[in-house]
Amino acid sequence: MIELIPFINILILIIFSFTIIIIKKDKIVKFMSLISNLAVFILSIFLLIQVLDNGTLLLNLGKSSSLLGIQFYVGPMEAVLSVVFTFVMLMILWFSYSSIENEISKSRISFFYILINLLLASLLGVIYSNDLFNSYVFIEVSTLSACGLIILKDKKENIKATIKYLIMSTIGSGLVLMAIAYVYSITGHLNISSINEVIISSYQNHNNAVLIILGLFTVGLGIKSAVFPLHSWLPDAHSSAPTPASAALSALVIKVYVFMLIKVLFRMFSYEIINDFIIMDIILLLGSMGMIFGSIMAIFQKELKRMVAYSSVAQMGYIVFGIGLGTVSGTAIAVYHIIGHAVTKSSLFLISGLFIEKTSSKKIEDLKGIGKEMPITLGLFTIGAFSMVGIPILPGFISKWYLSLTCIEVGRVPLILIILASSLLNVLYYFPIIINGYFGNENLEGKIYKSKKIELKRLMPVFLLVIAMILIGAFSSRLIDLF
Amino acid sequence: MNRFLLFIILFPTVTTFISYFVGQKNENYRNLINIFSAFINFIVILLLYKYIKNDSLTYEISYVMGTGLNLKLDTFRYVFVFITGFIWFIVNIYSSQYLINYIHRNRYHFFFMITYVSTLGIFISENILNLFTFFEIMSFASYPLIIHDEDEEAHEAGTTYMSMAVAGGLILLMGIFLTFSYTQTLNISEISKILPSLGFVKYVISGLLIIGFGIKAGLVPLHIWLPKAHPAAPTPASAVLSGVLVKTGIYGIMVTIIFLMNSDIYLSNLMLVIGFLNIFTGGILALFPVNIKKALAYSTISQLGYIFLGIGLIGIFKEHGYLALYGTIYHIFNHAVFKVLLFMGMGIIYMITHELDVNKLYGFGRFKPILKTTFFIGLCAIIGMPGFNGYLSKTLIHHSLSEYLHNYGFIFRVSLEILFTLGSALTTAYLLKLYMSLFVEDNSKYYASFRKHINKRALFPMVISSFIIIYIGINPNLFEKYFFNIYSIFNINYDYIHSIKFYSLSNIASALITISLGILIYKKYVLKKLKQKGENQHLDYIDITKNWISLENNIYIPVLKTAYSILFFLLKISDNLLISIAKIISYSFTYLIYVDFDRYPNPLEFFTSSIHSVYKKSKNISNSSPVKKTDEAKIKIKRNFIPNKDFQNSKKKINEIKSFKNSERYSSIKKDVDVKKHKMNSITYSIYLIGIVLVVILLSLIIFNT
Amino acid sequence: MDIFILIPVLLPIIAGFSLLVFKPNYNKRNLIVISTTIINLIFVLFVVILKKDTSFHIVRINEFLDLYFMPDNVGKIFAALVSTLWVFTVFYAIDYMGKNSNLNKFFMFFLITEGITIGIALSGNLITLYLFYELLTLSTFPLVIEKGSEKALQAGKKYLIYSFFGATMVLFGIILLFSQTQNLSFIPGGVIESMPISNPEFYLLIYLLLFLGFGVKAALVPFHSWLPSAMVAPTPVSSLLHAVAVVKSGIFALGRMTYYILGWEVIEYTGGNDYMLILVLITILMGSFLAIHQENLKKRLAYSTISQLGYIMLGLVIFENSSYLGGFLHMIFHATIKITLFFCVGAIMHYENKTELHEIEGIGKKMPKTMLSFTVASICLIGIPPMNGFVSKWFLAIGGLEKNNYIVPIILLLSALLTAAYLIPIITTAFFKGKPAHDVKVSEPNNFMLIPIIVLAAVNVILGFFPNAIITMIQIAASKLF
Repeated sequence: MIELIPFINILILIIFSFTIIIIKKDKIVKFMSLISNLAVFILSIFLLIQVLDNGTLLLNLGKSSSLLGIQFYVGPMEAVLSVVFTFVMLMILWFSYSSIENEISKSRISFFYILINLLLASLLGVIYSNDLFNSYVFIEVSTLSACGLIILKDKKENIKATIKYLIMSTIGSGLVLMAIAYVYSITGHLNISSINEVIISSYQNHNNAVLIILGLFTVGLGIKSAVFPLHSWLPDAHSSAPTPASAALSALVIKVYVFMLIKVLFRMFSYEIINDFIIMDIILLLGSMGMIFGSIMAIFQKELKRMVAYSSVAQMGYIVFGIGLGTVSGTAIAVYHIIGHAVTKSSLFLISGLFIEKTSSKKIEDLKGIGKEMPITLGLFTIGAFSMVGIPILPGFISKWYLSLTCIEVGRVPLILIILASSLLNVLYYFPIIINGYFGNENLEGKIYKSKKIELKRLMPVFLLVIAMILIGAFSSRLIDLF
Repeated sequence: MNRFLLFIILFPTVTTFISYFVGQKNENYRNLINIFSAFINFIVILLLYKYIKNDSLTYEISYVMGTGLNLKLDTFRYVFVFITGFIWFIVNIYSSQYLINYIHRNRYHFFFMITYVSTLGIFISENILNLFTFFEIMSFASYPLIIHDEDEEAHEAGTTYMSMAVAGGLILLMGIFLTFSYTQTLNISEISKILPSLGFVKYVISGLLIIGFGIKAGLVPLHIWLPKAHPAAPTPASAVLSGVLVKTGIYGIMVTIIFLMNSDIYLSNLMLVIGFLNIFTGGILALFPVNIKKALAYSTISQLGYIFLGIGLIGIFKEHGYLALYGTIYHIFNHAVFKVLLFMGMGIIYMITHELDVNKLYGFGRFKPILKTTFFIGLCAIIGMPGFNGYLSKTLIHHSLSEYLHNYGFIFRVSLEILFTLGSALTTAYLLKLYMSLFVEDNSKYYASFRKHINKRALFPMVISSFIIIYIGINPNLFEKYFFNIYSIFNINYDYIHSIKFYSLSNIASALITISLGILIYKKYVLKKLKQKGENQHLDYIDITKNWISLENNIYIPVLKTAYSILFFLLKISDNLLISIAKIISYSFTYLIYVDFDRYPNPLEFFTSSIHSVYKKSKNISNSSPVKKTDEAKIKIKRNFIPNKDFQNSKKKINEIKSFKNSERYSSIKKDVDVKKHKMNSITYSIYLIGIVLVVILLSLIIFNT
Repeated sequence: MDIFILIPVLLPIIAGFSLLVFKPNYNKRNLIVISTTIINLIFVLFVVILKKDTSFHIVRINEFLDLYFMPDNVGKIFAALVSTLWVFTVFYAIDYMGKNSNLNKFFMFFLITEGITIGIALSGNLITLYLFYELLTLSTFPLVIEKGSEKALQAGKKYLIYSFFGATMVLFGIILLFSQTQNLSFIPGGVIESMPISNPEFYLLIYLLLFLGFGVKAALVPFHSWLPSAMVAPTPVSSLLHAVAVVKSGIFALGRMTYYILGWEVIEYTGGNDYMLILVLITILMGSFLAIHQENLKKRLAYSTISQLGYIMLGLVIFENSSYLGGFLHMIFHATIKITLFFCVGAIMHYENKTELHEIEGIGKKMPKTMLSFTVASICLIGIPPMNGFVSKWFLAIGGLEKNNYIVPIILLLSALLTAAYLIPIITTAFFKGKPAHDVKVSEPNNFMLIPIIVLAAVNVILGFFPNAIITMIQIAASKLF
């Protein structure tokens, strides 16, 4: 029974999402989605325990040998990721109950939850599934549901953003599909592990094919996960989507594709093979560029949500950077950063949603003196920002630290400078908000203390997220040792 | 008994503080306390005599200041201590009267006593660091005395004094640093064991020490603060300044050369030269000033010359230096007494008239017998009239000088003799100038006036000191009697010691010759050259040194100024190095972003326009080619950028400028970037981008891997 | 029992937040603040006296993020210094900041900063120190911009940027170091066992990064310019900034890095300290030179701080027993001296609101006690024996000479001369100019302000006469190093 959990998770979510369609009353909809997510969360915790106790868990539905035989592979990484993702999604849902009405029209609320469920299901699917084709299917589902989430509040900008996102990700998935086809043509398998065996034995024979596969996967998944030069859809999409949606998007969705990339690179191929190719250096390059330029662009943004979105481009840079180092530890840190950033960025997005709701303005300069009006909220934002900047103990710092250590390990000391520079840039765009929020006479004058305070039950999910963030920081070494 | 060493320092300190607080309530009690404490201290010092008659007292506290406090009193030091105790006692009496119509009396007395304590400290400290400590305290404590009047002149003098004192102190400190790092000890007696055995560095060290002390000792050319400080300070202050404080410098130099350097021969000769230099500079410069106190200040410098001379001779003769030592110590004592006497005389005059200009004061003292006589005694003493104390010490120094000159060629010997005589003669000349004009000349203004103002308490100390002068004068061997032990300290062996007949004919003769020479100078030079018809038909003295080159204004200050400005420039750069660099970069970038350039440098158009312009020129009408235009634009931008460095501001200005021109014609990086950004955001562009990236990646993969 | 060591760090922080939570009125707040600092002083002394230097682990996140405290002699002295001066400053600040009750935020950060500074003092390895170091920047920033004016915000921004820049350099250095020696704990003589080290230039890089990084807070030229512009802060803050909290933490961190992480043999082997010596000497000269040109009294003191910090850093680049001793002594003495000077200037600003030199003519006749303390303190700073400033300079110069480095004492003396040149004018203007004393009405500051000033001045003198207790304590620490 327990080894069926991955499957059950996905099943629950999908079933609920389809039952929700029938129901009209929003209350029940919310309740059901909550139930489903809670269940999934608890189950994934079980799963994690299970995996930690007796190793990796392989689940075959249908014959593993046959083409479309679905195989779920749940190692520690997957287990942890699923726990974190479900947790974050749970929080987002909780948050959304109080705030969603303000952003999307009443008629579409149930639709929102359907999509959320679907999205989570597909994300978990991508995480778990061990064969390319299923992954591809799940990717497509997730993309579509993400588009749906963006377009939910039908403003002009949303539609534009959605179209853009749709086109981009279609191109991406097209490339991925090509790559999959290519792989199949040379190996005759879709199951990652079996592909791996074949490739190890015979990758010298069709060198160029391998290269092209790598290229296609990198670019395709790169587009979907908004790796630096391919990120152009992200800011529009994430800034225009309703707050919970955008939190989900940039906390979870883009991460999943990177995880997919990790799987492809290091499980389908393997470290020793990968390191023979230049692809790693390219990925490293993309990562570093993302870290720097993402932050720089974020500095120039006028709108809060756009800024946060760009910052997640920069954070993707870290993850890709970690992958690009091409070592086990590098990958481990990449995954760790996925987790840390998932928690941090979701909380940041939710908070910025609150700001926008209260000040009814997207602009950053309207946030001056916000610290007097909603001190606690800005305080939470501050903690998140500290993590981004890299104050010790918080996850941001830890991933930077380990990345740097790994840089030295692989003998690329200068790259540390890039890491440090990007963290300095983070200071430049997060601190002005905090400073202008809390300090300065002409910022604070005319602001009434706690005039716009949020009642605690709305802030609760954010609180939990921040606490989770701190815990993730505190138990970093345990986590990283898992991977 | 050794505790008394600490006592003579601590006791006055305590009473000083008490008197300060008392003084805020009641002036008279304060004065009484001060006089009393000075008196007690003097008594204690007298009592201490019997302990140091044959050996020395030492007292040590180890846990003070990290290096410990180490006091010592032997006969040599005792002389100085005795002088200090005595002078302060009488000057205290004097000043309690003198300052009656001054402000800030309390402050004055406080610092006066602190100076006293620190001076004692200097003389009795064995640890050279303690010596330095007390030296510094003295410098700082005497500063408020000098600037007491708080007027322009006082502040100027104070500044000079302070800066020189601090600089001197630091030079001294450098010397001490080096001493310690080379000898690993601070006790004078132990240093003197090691230091002379060092190499060249010992001259560096001793040089630093001598300069440091020399500034206080008014050693030419480091004397410039003296003539400024003396007139500025209230008289009692200037009395102790030239009576005792300069002696601290002398003491330091003596210690350095005789003890630390074990009377090194080069330094001793150097001191000889300096001695003559001082005698002459002081003597000559003392002739001119119309400010009576200034004259006395210069005379102090010249008198110190004798002492330097003596020190030099002690160093040269080593264990034979009996005469030189005798003379030097004697002169130190005598000079203290008579110089204080003279100053107090001047002080009384000033106290009554508030006037220091000899041309206004002439004939003041004509009918004031006591003042006149005491001053006259002082004069006789300083010019070395037989029968007065000055005569004895000068004779001794003269003797040992001639003894030293014995083994030199005739020319040298005679010339030095002449120099010495001339120097002493100058003394006579300038003092006669003062005396004659103040006490002999006739001035109706002062007939019998003011006599009542001169009251007893001011005159009393003068009387005492004049008595001492004469007393010493008539029984010259006092010193021999009391301070015989001093020779052993300077390890002078006794078989050389022979009692000298002070009043032998030759000595008296030479003294009288000197004096008469002095009178001659006075008659022939001072009266002839320096007098001039002033207002009210009186022959005024003129100060012809006004437009002479002055060390301070023409040498020291310019040199320092230049050095300072250079250093300042360098350091100013280093101050805002980073910021300025950052600014420069950012401004240059903004400039680049906004500078306009011709978007289509279309040769054809350019050609036509130039043709056009030529055509216009032929019609003598000014042209306007696009190139010209851009130039204007550039200039405009320059104007808007370089002067006001503010980014926002410049941005605004630029936009204004842009609005002038047809905007699609000219472009700037900024513009283009904006356009590009906008395009970037569009879908098509992103698709292109993706394509490009894909191609690039694939190509690079294939190229680099095969 | 080891848990006791946490109290000095946590107590002020908790108290600070309590201010935020309970929002006490004027009197209650003062009560809380004063009692907190005093109790904290007691606890610190308790720790200083009773605790043997055993390490106490707070939290061990992983092999490098291992936060623990280890109060050795050096840390103890620094902690004691900090908590003592904080008490004085509290009294002063209460009078200075005035009655308006919306200062809770100010005092909150004020207390938190104390806790963090003590944390720096007690921290047992570099990473703990780094953590507190970063927090220090964040907690002092609100104090710097307390006025909230545009100018203040600018200054604050400057301060933040400089500090984070430095911190980043430090982090880089730490990472490189950690990759070499998997150990960041403070061990007398350094964590590097194998001498001679194989790759000196790598260690040179580490040393330079760390020194410059920490040097930012220690106002090392050319990273000093945040210090004068941070003068917009209210005087209690700037006095703390200069005297104890910030710059001294920078110095302290430098000392830890030099003697307890890299170890002076290693540094000498790499020769990095020679480069730094040049910077330090420039710092000394520049600070004292530019101080002369500041009309604004606080600016004057700020620049003088820069040069004085240079003195202290001499003890960190010249590896001699007496240099170490002198540097450490000067760290303590400069703290007490400079805080006195700032208090006096602040008192003048607050009661007379005069800030420029030419304005204060005859102020010494108006507030004699204050200006007398100022005089005492400035004499200490110039280093006139028997004041405390002299003792430390003595050891510094001797240390320089023991290395046969003549330039050091010369620079020291030159800068002492300059120190006199920028401090004595203040005294003379205050005492010996303006109207005569008997027609000036004496009006001293309020006791809350006056008593700390006088006591601190007295402390300076006493320390000058009897420094041996401290000297022996430092010698114990030094004996482990040399």
